[in-house]
Amino acid sequence: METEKTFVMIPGLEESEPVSLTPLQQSIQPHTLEIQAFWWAIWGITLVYVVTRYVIIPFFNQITRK
Amino acid sequence: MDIRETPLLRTLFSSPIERAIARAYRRIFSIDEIETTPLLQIATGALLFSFFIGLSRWFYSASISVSSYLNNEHTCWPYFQSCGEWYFLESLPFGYSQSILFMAAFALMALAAYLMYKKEWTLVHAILLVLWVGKAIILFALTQQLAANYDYYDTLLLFILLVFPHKLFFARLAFVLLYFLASTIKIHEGWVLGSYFTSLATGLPLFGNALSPIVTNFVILMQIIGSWMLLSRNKYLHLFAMLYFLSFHLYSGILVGFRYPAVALVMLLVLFGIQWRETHRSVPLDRKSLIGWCFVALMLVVQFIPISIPGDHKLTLEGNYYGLFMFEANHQCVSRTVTHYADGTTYEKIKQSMDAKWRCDPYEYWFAIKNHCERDARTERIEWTFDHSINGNPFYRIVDVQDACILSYAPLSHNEWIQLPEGGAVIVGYPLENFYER
Repeated sequence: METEKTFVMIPGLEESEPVSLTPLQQSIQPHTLEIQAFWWAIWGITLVYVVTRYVIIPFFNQITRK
Repeated sequence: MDIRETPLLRTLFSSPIERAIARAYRRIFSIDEIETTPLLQIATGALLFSFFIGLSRWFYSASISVSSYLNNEHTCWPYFQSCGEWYFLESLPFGYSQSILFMAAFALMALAAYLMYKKEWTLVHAILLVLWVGKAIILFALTQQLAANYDYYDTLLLFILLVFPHKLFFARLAFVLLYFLASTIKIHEGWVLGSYFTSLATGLPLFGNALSPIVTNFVILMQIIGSWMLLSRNKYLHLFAMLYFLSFHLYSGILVGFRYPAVALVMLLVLFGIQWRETHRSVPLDRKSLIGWCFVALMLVVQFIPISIPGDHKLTLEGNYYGLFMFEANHQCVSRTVTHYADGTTYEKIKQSMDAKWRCDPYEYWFAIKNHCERDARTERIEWTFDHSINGNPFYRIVDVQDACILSYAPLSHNEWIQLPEGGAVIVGYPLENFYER
């Protein structure tokens, strides 16, 4: 049996609607953890690429030239 | 005229010892870079403008006043919880000392602007260094109440321009890194679903709620990858990133107002809009650049402090202010305390959040409770519950203690008295749509 939701009434929000998700959000919601993992992977790959391409490789090139 | 022999500098530092001091100062802070790089001169002016706006917002703030300490209205950083004992200024309406100090800062800013016009860059540097030290002490030592990302921006960028060699390179890199690090705040349900905005009564500006997840995920993409395009030698990629971030700042200004674009948008234009073809010049890897690289690494480490603390720091707010935190979550909260006095009487107090950006940090509430316990000998104990909802999710009772007076707060690790949903925090209710600003 579904129990009725209790809404927490912050002063000034008496006229507000309960928060709800849009249809697009409802379809994405089951996958939020996977999407977050995806963004972290992109973040990590980007950092590794930038550091390797613009810092580590030029640094070692500089050392080998000396 | 030799740039080292500017007229005023020569007059002020006339003796051999004074000239030696001036030379050492110029060498330590690589001031010749500012003198020979017009872009750095413009950037310095832009940051002075940002400092002016930032300090004018603080002018009437009581956050670092003696009265705020005496009235227990101050909040120290978790890593310096006795900051209030160092307050010595009084703000209006209770005193003039803060106003006097801020007007002295105003005079210094005006003088710095005049000296910029006269190209006395060593003296400009010295004045800005004094202003920077003052602002950094207020921002990172004396109060947590004034912590705001736009002030982090100008404080950090000015630090780079004042202190490091290879100033322009590290200023550009740090600016890009600020976007890149800001993306870490957004890798969270509130931004993946866009529920930060759809839980606002007014919804997502211009685009509407239906498109919210597409817009918010695009922001994440651009902050992770698009930010680096600002450094690209490909003019189309560079132009695309410039146009995107210009639009982003104008758009976000609909919510945040002028303060953030006054530093971020202006610095974007200065660092990447002028002489953009030079943005890809070689990466400095000499000994002098080491301090800059250490600072870049430090930025990364600091941003990961809240992420490294167990639990959802958007809900617990532990470590939240250490890195960038703008738009981390849409907050609603209710704090209820019942003070039990030695004579058997009780006093109930309920404090509720005002709007979405009211940070609902349990630490801030605990800090006031702790000071009350220490100062009021009549208080026997304080019962405390704290209910917090983020991004339209349920209200979790994340604090439920019989005596908050005995609690302590660890600045760099999880505090066990803050309960996590996965650790048994109970749902006490559900939120209504709120407002961004009230």
